[in-house]
Amino acid sequence: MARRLRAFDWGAHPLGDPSGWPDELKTMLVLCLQSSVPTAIYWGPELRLIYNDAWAHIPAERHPAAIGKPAAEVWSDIWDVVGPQFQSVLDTRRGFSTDDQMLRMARSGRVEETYWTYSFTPIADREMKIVGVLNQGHETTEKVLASRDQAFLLDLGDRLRALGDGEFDAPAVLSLALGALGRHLGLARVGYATVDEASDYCSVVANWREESMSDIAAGRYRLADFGEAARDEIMAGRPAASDDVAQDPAHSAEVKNNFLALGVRANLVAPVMRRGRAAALLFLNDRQPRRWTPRQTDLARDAADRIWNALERAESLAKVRASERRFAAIYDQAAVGLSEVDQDGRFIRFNESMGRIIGRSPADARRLTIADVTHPEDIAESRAHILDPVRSRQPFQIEKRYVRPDKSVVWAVTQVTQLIDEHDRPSGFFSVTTDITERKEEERIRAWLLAELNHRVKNNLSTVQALARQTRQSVDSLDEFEAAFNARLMALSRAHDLLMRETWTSAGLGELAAATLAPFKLDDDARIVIRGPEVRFSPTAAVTMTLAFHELATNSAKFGALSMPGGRVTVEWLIDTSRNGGVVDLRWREAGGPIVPPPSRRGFGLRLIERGAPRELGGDVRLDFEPDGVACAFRLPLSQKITAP
Amino acid sequence: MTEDQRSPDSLVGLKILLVEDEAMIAMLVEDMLMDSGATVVGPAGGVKAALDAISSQEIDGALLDVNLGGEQSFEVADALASRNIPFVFVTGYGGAGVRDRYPDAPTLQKPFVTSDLERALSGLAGAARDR
Repeated sequence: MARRLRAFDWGAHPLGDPSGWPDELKTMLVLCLQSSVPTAIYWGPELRLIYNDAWAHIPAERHPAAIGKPAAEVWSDIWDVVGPQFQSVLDTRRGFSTDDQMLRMARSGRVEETYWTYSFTPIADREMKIVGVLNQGHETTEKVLASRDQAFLLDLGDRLRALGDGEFDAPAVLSLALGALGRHLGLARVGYATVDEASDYCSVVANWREESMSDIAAGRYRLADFGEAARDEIMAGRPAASDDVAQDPAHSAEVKNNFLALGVRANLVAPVMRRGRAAALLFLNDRQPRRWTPRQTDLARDAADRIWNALERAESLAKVRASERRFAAIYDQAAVGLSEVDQDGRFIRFNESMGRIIGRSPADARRLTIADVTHPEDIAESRAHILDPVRSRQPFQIEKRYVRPDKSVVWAVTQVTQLIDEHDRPSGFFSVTTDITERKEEERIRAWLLAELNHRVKNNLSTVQALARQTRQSVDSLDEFEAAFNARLMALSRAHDLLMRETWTSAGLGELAAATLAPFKLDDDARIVIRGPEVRFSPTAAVTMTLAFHELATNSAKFGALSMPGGRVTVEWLIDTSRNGGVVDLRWREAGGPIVPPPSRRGFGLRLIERGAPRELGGDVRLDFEPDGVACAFRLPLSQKITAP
Repeated sequence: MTEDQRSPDSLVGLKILLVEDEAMIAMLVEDMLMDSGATVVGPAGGVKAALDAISSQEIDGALLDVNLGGEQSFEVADALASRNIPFVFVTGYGGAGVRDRYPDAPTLQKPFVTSDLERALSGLAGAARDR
């Protein structure tokens, strides 16, 4: 620079020949030329420029023409900013300095946003008059923009994180990231595309764009259509950039047209490499030619990687959400009770079915413990299972009772599985609970039925035993015994048939009489007439009444009206309500038969009718052997055993 | 003869209350008791008839059917116990209710034959003679 200054034709210059320069300028010049810091001297009323080698790159293509030129001429493009700064130094006689001052500077034929940190120091002569300005400083554009990129990426990360898990999905991630990047870099379009396995085509997943740019989302493009060399770069994992696709010597006319058809003049593509191949692309488009800086390329790569990672997270979150939804659906709608408790037996949650079993709302789960809902007698067993470290490790099943708030008891079988956390420590229990109250009730009924069956069989055997004994006492031969015994047994059996029909609750008096007397009708419906209102006999009363009818009919068939054609039997009853509680007034009347003398010995039939029946049924029975036929009057009070509707 | 091989007439002279609601079975047991020489009080077909008999007649022992057509005979058992009259329950089944209320009372399961009846009542007979 010193040589260049010496070679300069100062004779024709307003500053004149250096030999005549004031001492202040000479001193400053020595300082300037020896400094390694970019230093310039603006001298004289026009602030004419002299600078050192370190400063020479600052005016870019204006060097070396800028030497000796007035500041306002050299810096016409930024004079709106630096002019007042110079003036202020001259006016105030004080130094000025600024950090990261933005200057819109024309460089390489373009106006660029540049940043500078510099100082202006006034130079005074002996009279303390300001004769020049010393300028030292350096460009900070890269530092400023890099820190902005850094801040941008941090902010993007923050904003992605700010998306709640619920809204963190691919469209939200792409909309946020692509829009932010487009605005940050002042682009016309930013898009994200996935690359197919064969690396031939890419499919645009989403694009952010200015209104004037076409929407190419869901578009599918052949990579080679935008330059084979560029495609090879991308596939090798390197970004491909074109400052001006129309002027790019690497592009064929066809490729240029393909770009222009999409409204693209400047293009930058950053690949995302996964498993050795470019799996996705981030593309940056501008409508105007644009000088892509290495910093922007790095930013694009960084952003592309972040977007990929965010999308992966979105995908896994979506899977988790889907799985949670599935689980929630199963959990909520399961017909069995599902519940989760912690190590101390406190409920974490339970589903509606479990709520129904224990009579509580799932909303109250966290306020409840197992002990709160378990039958007091079953708490100890539940606790023993859970506290046993060996048993609780394996899934186990307990049959226990739950108690609802209304004190009703529910039997349930619960399948319990211990939950293990990621550190292999027990963290609680998951239970599947089935209400088995019905099953328990059925078991109880079955047990009761068995006992009842046993009771009835034993009672019937006793009745049969009684029949055998009573029959033996009234017959003279084994043949006679068999006939009489069988007839009585069949009468007993018919009574059982009737009771069976009514599930062993009771039998109607009319049906009892009809079934018992049927064998004596001999196909003549007129022989036996049965009529009366509805009256029901309990099972044991029905058996006794059946046998009473049977004995009357047998006697009649042997000696009375039923022993000859034309004989008639009428069985009639009414309910006499004039008596306290009501009485069934039943009459057996025979007519049209021979005169029946009273029996010579008191046999079974007589004993049953006159003593056994009234004792069992209550009331009284009167049997008369009248000349016009046998008459038997039963007066049976309504009771537990004999009922009328 | 040992105590367990008493002769059939060991019930001779004893007044036994029979409480049984089913007429056929009442007749059967009545006959069995008479065969063994006992005098039958009743048979009573229900709780009221049984209580009437206990309060009005001299009784050495009783044979109680547990189930009297819907009502149970524990009230009768209580009345007998309060008078120190021994009794045997007759039941068609295990008689869980009986074991709860009268764990020490002898029970006789239906159906039974006369010798079963005598064996069950033999204790009563001894107690009656000792009185």
